[in-house]
Amino acid sequence: MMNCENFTEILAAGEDASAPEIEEAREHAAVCEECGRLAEAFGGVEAALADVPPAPAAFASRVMARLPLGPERRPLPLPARVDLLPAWIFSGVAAAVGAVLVGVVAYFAYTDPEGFAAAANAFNNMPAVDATTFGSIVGATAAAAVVAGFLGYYYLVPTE
Amino acid sequence: MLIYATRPVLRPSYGWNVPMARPSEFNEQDVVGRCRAGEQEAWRELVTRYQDMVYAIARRVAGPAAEDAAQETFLRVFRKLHTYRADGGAKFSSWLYRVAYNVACDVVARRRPTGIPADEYEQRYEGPGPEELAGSAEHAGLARAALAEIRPDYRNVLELYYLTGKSYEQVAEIADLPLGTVKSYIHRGKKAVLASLRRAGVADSLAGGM
Repeated sequence: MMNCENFTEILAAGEDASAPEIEEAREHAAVCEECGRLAEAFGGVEAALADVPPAPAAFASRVMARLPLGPERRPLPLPARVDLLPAWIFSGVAAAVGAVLVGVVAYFAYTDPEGFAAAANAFNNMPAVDATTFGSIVGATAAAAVVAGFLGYYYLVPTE
Repeated sequence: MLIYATRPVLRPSYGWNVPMARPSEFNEQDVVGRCRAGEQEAWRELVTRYQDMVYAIARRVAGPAAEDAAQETFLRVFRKLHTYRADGGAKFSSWLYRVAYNVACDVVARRRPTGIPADEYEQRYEGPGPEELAGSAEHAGLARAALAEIRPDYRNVLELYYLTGKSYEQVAEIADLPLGTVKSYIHRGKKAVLASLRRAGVADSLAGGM
């Protein structure tokens, strides 16, 4: 018959106790109020000891500051990528958009040569700008197109 | 779409409806390799991954000097990483926790005022303070009171036992003790905790408080 001392032994043995021993201890705890409460309190103590609270905030940064490594390269704070389109679809869509733009201009020039000539004249009659300004405008437009293409590709096309 | 619906074999390897596999899983050996190469991002991953456990060990062993001990652990790992051998069968985490345990013990020893023998000082060090143990306040209080009465070597091993999710083998690796010694320390430690709980009659007071 199990007594309170045996019970403590089984509790201390924990997972190492045999199944019949554990069963016997359970039966003892059911009739011995003190041992039942002891088991409960011990369970709580074990849970408290098993707890791994998080390290203080910024601990990792304090460690990193002390490690003799080179300056840290931080990734640019860009929004998350979409990775929606395979490359061939992206290229196809980009080519189609370019072709449509050229086609619209060509269609306009073909069906309404006078209107096209008038529009071209209006463009030519814009206030004169010097060569440097004109070059800047063309360059900025080209750069914007390149950046838009790059960002579009980066965000929309998944890398393998 | 019709083709996709009727003959799924023809689906492209990636595309509209196939999510991309993301390399988000933490690969211990890969990160350690990149740390060896001095990669800053890999070090941040490593520190972030293990900081909680390293800090917990430091808290339990070094008490109020936990921050020092935990920082010192990663500095020592930085210097000694070349001595870690994955092919020896030891998991990196076990190796790291062993460093953490040793550093924490060193920090405790360093803080010992000169003129007091190590044994005596260890007896005086009263175990974790209120901020070093979480869990329910009641049980944390019980645990603290019980641990304060236990021999420091039993106490350290017992705390490692619970921190590692009750792994005798890992405790033996971390504390560099024979498995039999670890088992015996843990058993005696538990019995001491139980005796302390019984002596204090906390089982009664707990039940009365509820």
